[in-house]
Amino acid sequence: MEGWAGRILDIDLSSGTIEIYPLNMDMATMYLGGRGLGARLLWDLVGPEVEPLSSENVLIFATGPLTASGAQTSNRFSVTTKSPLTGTILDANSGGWWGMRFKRTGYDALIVRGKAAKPSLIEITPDGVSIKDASHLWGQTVLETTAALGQNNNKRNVLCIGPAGENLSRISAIMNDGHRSLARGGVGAVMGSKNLKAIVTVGTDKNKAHDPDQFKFMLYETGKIIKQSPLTSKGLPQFGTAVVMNVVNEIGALPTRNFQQSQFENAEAISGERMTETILVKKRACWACPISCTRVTKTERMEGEGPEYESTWAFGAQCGIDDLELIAEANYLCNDLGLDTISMGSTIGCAMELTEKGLLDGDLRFGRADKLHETIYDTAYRKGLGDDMAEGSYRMAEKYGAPELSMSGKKLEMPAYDPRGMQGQGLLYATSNRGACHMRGNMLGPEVLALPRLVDRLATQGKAGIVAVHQDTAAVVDSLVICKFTNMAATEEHFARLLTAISGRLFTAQDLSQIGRRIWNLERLYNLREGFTVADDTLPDRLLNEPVAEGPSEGFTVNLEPMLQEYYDFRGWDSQGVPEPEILEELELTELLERA
Amino acid sequence: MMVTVKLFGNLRDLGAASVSEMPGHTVRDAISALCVENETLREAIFDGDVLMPHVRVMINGRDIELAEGLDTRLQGGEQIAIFPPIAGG
Amino acid sequence: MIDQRLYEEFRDVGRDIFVGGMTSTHGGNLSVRTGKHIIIKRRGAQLGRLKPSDFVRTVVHGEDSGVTRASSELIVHRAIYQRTNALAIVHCHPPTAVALSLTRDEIIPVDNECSYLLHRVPVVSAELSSGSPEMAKLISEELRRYKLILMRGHGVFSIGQTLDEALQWTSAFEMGCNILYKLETLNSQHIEFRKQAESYSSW
Repeated sequence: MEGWAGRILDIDLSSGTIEIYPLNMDMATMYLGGRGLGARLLWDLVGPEVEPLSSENVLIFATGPLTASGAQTSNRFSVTTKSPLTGTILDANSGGWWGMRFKRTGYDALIVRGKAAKPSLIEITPDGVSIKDASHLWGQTVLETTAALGQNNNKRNVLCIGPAGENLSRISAIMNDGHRSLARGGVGAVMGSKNLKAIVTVGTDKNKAHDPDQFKFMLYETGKIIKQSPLTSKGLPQFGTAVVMNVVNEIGALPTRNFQQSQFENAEAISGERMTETILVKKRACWACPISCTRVTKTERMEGEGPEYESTWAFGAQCGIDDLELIAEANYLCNDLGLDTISMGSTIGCAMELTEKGLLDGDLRFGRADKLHETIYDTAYRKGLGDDMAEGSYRMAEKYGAPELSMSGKKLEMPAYDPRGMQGQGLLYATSNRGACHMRGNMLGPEVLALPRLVDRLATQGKAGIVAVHQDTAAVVDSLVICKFTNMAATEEHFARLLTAISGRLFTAQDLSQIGRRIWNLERLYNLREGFTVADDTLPDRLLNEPVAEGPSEGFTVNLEPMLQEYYDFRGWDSQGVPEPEILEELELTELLERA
Repeated sequence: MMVTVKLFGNLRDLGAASVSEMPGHTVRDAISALCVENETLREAIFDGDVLMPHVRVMINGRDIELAEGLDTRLQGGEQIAIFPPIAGG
Repeated sequence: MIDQRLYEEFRDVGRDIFVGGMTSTHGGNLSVRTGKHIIIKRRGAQLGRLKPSDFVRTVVHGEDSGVTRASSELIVHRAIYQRTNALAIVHCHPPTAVALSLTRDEIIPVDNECSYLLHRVPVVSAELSSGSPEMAKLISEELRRYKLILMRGHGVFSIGQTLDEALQWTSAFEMGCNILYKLETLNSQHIEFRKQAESYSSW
């Protein structure tokens, strides 16, 4: 294969049918793969009448033209579905080895439809594709299942759900290769609702370049820029993603105790530096990655991978907890039970505030690190308050009379940046298609790290263009599929040339950013079709109306309205956030609407 | 005048944070005072007269690039934070 | 009309270009994109001495009265914003780059900085070279592939997310051209230090 394998695998678990058909190459060149291809296919397959946990929803696992090519970080893949947490279009993205292996089975995407009569698994090997009974695995944890199915990073790769997904938690994840996660939006529950426990892949097809010399040159150039950037060659490998804890705290944008404060007095205790001094065993890399941001860690009682910055924040500052070992253990548990750490930690913090305000009984209060283990277990198994938490922070807070205390956007729990201290991030959260999310164009780069340039994080004018450009680039990176950390050094210039060399088709840097824009607009159209409106491009009341009380961001709220109008203008959308006809024409999306 | 200078990341391996009684009035003076008799630290932070690429310096949480850079004047009592090249997710 | 912060950015970048010898007093232009509009230097203003009143706000798509006062190359800026994701454009006439453009079809920098940032810069030619639709189309198409291009006998167009970024490409490029020029004047054997250097022409 040269970029694209050219085949889609389509499995209906209700009927047991397995179909293989060609990938439409027009679709492939317009949407690339991964997130983009997933969005395009979901547009056709899942309409507004479909309930996310019904058998009519689908899961679309997709790789991209660069996957398994050997380009740096070409191991990633995505899953696209309609989210049971947000109701929006949702793609989640993961690393490790499974994506590379799936590509090597000779397919670009796997569509899973329907619902199996009993717990099942899918196996894809050179001998063929089969649906097998998985009743003996139902109820087992992620690590148990992964080992039982013969996980070997270099040969045979397992993707599965844990008890949380089986119990249809709206904040459950799908895990691959044991420790990597397709985390956000409750994708685990969609897989659980289909009675699908695992997907095992074995494959050796190579993704070879159409122009090997040119590809080799581009590998060299991309590797060079990764090595020359101190972030990807020193910062990330040495300290992992959690090194950013101290800098975000320093500027007063570290959400603390459910976003009540924007600095955590014990940020140091949960920083990347502290992790390196205490629980770190060694660093690890995903397939074909020179960066090695993964942390292999252990506490006195447990061991595993992580925690990442977001997870450390979620069980740390968000909950007023500074015990790094217990935070790490909370992370290991979430991985093993199959839960999204951001949503889990954020929901716990929300419950803590509900308790302190007398809306919830019990003693789950800020700082109660001793309650983390049992709370996570209860959520995975839907016991007591865990049954409410399994619904996510918004539905839980609503049940107890205070939905405004859920720090979320479109019901997706907000990650570890207080937008009152990073105005552009606020615009990003409010307009993100899968709900409040930083991975859709993280403004950490421009607003804090000066990548590519520093912009004033507290200014609002002029932010719209930068946010939109970052959103489009993130969409491209998620569709190639490449790791965002490569994108901290390399740009569309490199990716376009890598793609041209591997596929033999010409792509320019601007072709890619236009594809990113197309994907962004398609996701927007999907959500509009679902009934989302401009009213949903917003933030929790606290962030719009409660100024930060102290610290470097003191006095600020998110000044969203002017940024939003400038953003709609920039995107070519009307004042209701609907893409205008000229934009749809330019992006060749008009025909989709005509057929809808 | 007294200011606090905090080091982060691998800069901590090279020197200690301190409250310094510094001669002079600018951020440059404060960091230079920290690097006195510590050439390794100085070389990690400065590229001659300017900051090494990707090193970020903040005064009370505000990046100096938004003020007058290393020539920003201090009043006394500020907290200066120096970050080596890092990233996050 | 123009935000103070933005004005200072325009003023500083304009001054750097002039003082750096990359433009004549009244040549060159700068613009940024905000929402549906462009803010561009007005016709006749000096890049090295920009005042807050030296800017015109006009639409990216379509037409409005801004065209009466804006730089005569507005049409090129508009085309670039329509065909790329640029948020800022720098255009100037650096002498060494322009001189080299009259003797070759592409510039492949040989020094570390410029080579690392730009790899290869194409030279494009248009008969009617100032403010024509032909020129606008040619330049905006070429900028889909490269973030900086050179117009034969005319000058550089460079795009970025900020004026500062576009300036960085421009300045590094003129440096790189200077070094090439000196190298050719030295007329000694060129000792290549970069691996895979012969591949740069395929960038």
